[in-house]
Amino acid sequence: MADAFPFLPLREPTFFILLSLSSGAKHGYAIMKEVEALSEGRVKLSTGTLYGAIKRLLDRDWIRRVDDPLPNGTERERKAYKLTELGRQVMNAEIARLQELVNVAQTQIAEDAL
Amino acid sequence: MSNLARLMMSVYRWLLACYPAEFRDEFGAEMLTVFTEAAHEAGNNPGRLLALFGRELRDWPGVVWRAHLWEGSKMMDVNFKKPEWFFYPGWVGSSLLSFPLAWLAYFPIIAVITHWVGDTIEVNGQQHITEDYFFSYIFFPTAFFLAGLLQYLLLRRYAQKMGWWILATASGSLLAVAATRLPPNILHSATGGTLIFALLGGAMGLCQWLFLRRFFPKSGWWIFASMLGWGLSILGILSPLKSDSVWGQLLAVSLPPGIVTAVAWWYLLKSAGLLENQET
Repeated sequence: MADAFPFLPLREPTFFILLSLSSGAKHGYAIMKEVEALSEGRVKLSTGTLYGAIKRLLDRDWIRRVDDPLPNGTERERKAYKLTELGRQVMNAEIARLQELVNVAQTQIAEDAL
Repeated sequence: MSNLARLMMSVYRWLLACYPAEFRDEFGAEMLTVFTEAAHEAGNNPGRLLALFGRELRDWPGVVWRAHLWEGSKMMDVNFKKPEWFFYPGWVGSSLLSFPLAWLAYFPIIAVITHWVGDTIEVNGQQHITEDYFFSYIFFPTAFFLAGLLQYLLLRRYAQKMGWWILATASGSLLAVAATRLPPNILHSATGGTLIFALLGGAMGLCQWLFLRRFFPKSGWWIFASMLGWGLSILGILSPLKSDSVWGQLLAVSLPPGIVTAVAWWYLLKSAGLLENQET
C-alpha cells in the first residue's frame, strides 16, 4: 500500500476509471458508461479524457490491456482493460484516504453539534 | 447515421490528428470506435449528439497538450544519451554566437520597420528614434530565439522532442521584455543593467524549467543559474577590460550565461544519474 501514496490524491476521472474496472475487464465504451453510472451522471468522460487517462494508467502498470471477446457493432478494433494488483492497491489507498477524510469530518461535525 | 453525426465523425478524425503520433497509433482506432458507438447510441437526437461532441471539444485542448507532454517526457527520459565532450563547449558556443547573429539580424528587421513607421515614432506624446525605440523589443527576443535554436540543434543529438526548448527560451525573453518595457539606455547603468539581464535570465530560466522539470523533477535551481549567468553578462559591457568593438562586447555579454548554464547542464545530468548510468 505504501507504494501508492506518492500518487494520491487521484483525480476524479482516474478514480472512477479504476473503480469501474474493479469488477472486471471492460472496453473503453463500457468504462465511459460505468463511470457515468457510478457518479450518478455527474462525471461524463469524453473519449479524449478517457484514453489520455488510460494511456497514463497503462504506462504506470495500474491497468493492462486484454483482448475483448465481445462484438462491438463496428468493424473496428476494440481492446479491454483490466486492473492490475498495483492499480487495485492505488485504488484501495485512495478509498482509505477518502474514508479518513469523511471520518474526520463526521467526528468534527459531531463535536460541533454537542 | 444522420448528416450531423457524419459531420461530427469527420471533425473527430481531424481532432485525432492533433494527438502525438505514438498516441494516435496506439489509441486512434479505438477512440474512433468508442466515439462511433456513442454516436450510434445518441441516434438521431441532435441534442445528445451535440452534447457528446461538446464534451470532446471541451476536453480536447487540455488532453492533446497533456498527451504531447507525456509522450515528450517519456521519450526524453528513455532516450537521453550521455553527451560527448563537445556538448559543453558546443553549449557555450551556441550562447556565444546568439548575440552577434541577433545583431546581424537586427538591421534588416529594423530597416523594414523604419520603412513603414519612419525614422521617428511618437509614443504617448513623445518622439523617439524608431531604431532606438524598437531595439530592446527586437534584439533581445531575436538573440534568445537564436540561442534557443542553436541550443536545440545541439540538444536534439541527445534527446527527442526538444523543439519545445526553442519556444521556452524565446517565450521567456518575450515575457521579460514585455514585463519591463526595456528603455533603450538600460545598458549604461551597472545596477539597472544587471537587474534587467538577471530578470531576462530569470524569465527565460523559468520557461526553460517548465520544460525541464518534466524530465528532471528537482531542477528549480536552473532558474537561478540562468539569472546568475545573464546577470553576470553585464560585466561584458561595463567591465574595465571590455572590448572597444561592438562584436567584442556582444561576445563578452553572451559568454557568462553560456558558461554558467553549461555547468548547470553538467550538474543537472550528473545529479539525475544520466552520466553515471550510461558510463557502465
